[in-house]
Amino acid sequence: MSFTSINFLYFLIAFIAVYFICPAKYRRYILILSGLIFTAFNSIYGLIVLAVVTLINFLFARWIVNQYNPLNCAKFVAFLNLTALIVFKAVNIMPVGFSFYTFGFISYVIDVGRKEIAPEKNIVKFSSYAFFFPKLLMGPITRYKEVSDNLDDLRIDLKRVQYGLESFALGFIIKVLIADKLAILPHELLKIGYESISTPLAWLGMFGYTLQLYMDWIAYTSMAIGIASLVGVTLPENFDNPFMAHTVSEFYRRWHITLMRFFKDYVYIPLGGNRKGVFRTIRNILIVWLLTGLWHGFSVNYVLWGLSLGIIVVLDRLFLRKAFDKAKVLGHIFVIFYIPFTFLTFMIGDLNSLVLYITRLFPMLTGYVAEFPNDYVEYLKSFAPYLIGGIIFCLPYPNMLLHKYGRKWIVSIIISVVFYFAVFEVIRNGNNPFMYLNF
Amino acid sequence: MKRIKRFNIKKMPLFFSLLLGAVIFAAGIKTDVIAKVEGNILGISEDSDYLDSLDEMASADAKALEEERLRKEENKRIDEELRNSGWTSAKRLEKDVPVELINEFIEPGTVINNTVTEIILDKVDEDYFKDALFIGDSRTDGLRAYGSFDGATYVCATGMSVFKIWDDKDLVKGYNGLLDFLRKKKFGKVYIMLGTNEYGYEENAYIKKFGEFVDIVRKNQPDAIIYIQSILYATINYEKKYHDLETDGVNSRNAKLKEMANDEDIFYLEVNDCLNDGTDHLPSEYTGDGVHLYAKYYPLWRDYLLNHAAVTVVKH
Repeated sequence: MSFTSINFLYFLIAFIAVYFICPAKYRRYILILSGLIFTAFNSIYGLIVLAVVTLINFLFARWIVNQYNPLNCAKFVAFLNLTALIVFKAVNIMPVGFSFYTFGFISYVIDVGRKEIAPEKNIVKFSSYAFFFPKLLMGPITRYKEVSDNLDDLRIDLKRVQYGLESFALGFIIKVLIADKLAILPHELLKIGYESISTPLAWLGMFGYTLQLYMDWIAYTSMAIGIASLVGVTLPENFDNPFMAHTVSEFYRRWHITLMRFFKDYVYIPLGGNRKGVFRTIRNILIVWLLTGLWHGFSVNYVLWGLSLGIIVVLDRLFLRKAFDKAKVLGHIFVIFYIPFTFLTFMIGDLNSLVLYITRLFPMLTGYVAEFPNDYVEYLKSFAPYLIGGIIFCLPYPNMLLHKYGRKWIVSIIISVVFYFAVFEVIRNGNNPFMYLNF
Repeated sequence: MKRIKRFNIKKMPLFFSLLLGAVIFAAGIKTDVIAKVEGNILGISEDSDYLDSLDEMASADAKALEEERLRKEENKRIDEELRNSGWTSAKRLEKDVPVELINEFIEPGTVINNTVTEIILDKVDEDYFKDALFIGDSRTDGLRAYGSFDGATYVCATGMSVFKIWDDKDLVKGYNGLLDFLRKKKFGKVYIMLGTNEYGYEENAYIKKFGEFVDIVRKNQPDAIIYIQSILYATINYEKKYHDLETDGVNSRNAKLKEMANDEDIFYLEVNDCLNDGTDHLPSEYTGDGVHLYAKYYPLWRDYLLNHAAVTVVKH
């Protein structure tokens, strides 16, 4: 179920109602049950995989602590999880959310192997973490140790309910009224054919795509964290105003935080991090970025993406970061242009089209002259409100304002009105946000 | 009752406003208020003029059919007469007999200088389209953007269909919907391409609606030549993957569209002829998504229109 579907809203209301009425000690069962229903709705296959993987990791974690070398055993179990991930990706039978929750389990078994956390003995409690549906579709990649205490004490805190509703409503609004509308732009460019787009339109498309990607992410993450807050569970933050960064390294400390920290804690640091000399550091950085690319998908595009960022992170470490620290404005500008440029690998499937698109961005490379030089005007006009909305949410002010004035009645009323307008949009489009399926 | 916390309204105003909103929203949906509001936003309203014209058409249908029948018979009679007195219709000419193209519209069968006129589809120049109106969906929009004619007017929107074409009051800037526009502005030619978005509807319902549409256009543009353009094919892969825009269904509909033409002032244009991969499908290399043309291929359609316009020919 997409979070922005009517079915999900019904499900959510039912879930909250049951959860609130239920006595605290049985709430774990509600979490498990709701997770089962949520996953089953997407696919029974997904449900079975999730259940099996949960059980295996649960049992293995308890086995690890009794072994002579728990860390190596943990690595073995992590390796099993990775093998499943690789096989599923390669054969293209990946159940929804697998990439996200597998990393959650890997972090769990490694933490147990490192003796940072005791293995969970209560399968009900462990399952309530594994089946926690808000994080199942797109993360955040949550470590067991950061919710373990939380799961012992599932109480409802009214302030967190308010915060949770704010986050969920805002995320819903951003997804339906901004992200989904922006999604049409790259699709339009595909229809026209990259061969025929003008340079301004190519740039518009590139920025529009990145904006859409970011809006999609923060919308979903906001909704996930919001629902978790409603039920008294704190999920880790995944985005922290990344476009406010002035270096690429800083950008990726603020973008998809839970993925980046996974690679830092479980790959980069074990490899030696930056403590084994310049060459090892460079090697480690590039390995991490290669893996980060592969996590997104087994294709040249993603490897290219990973390496194009890894190289800049290396340069950051060598001299670039210090330079941009002194010239922050230049750094910001670099980030705002380079990051969307790297996301072209996400936007465009095959390499030939990617090269073609680059020749449209930089017409001096081939002396390209657009046949329709003013084509961008009508796109700018029709997408202007969504582009502006998206840019506003790239800034920290909306969140700041929301959490400062969120408790005022007038703000709540405005949010509610806009929220129901978004719900109406969903209904009007027949639960199908992709209006380009209309000809 | 220890479990039930005191729900302090002040601490979570959003909870209560969302709850209230839910009640209002649900009530709105149930009582169709929302539908009406949507109607106003989208411009759906009960236009009495439109309904009147439909009524008029219904009663005029029988009359019009009769008139049409009489006109066709009259033409046949003239043709027969001329043939019997030794004249041949220009259409049945041998290739080497010169024909003259006449720019103004002349009633077919008119005798000029002892010759007979006929209308065929042939090449025209760009000026022909200065008083042309194009009505259609996103395809026509693509033609507007990448294969347009100087001076022509384009009324099109993604998702447009004959079932709701009159409803959008904002379809034409400065006018209250398409009907208003057709009443107030006169065109020499009206090109129509509608049918892709209606593919999911039952074929006869679509054809009937399309026929009504053409009738209304004719009623409001009595002197215009109407061109009914074929529904375009999709690629083989698109048809296989989505089971939509299947060639058989498209051909069937197009055949019925063709029957609406009278070859005098309503013509059918088989645009697929210039966008065919040989198997009655859109060539895969012409499109990115299987249905919409890449910008650089719209000139093919444009050229087709330039080469298939109604011209009156006269035999010398």
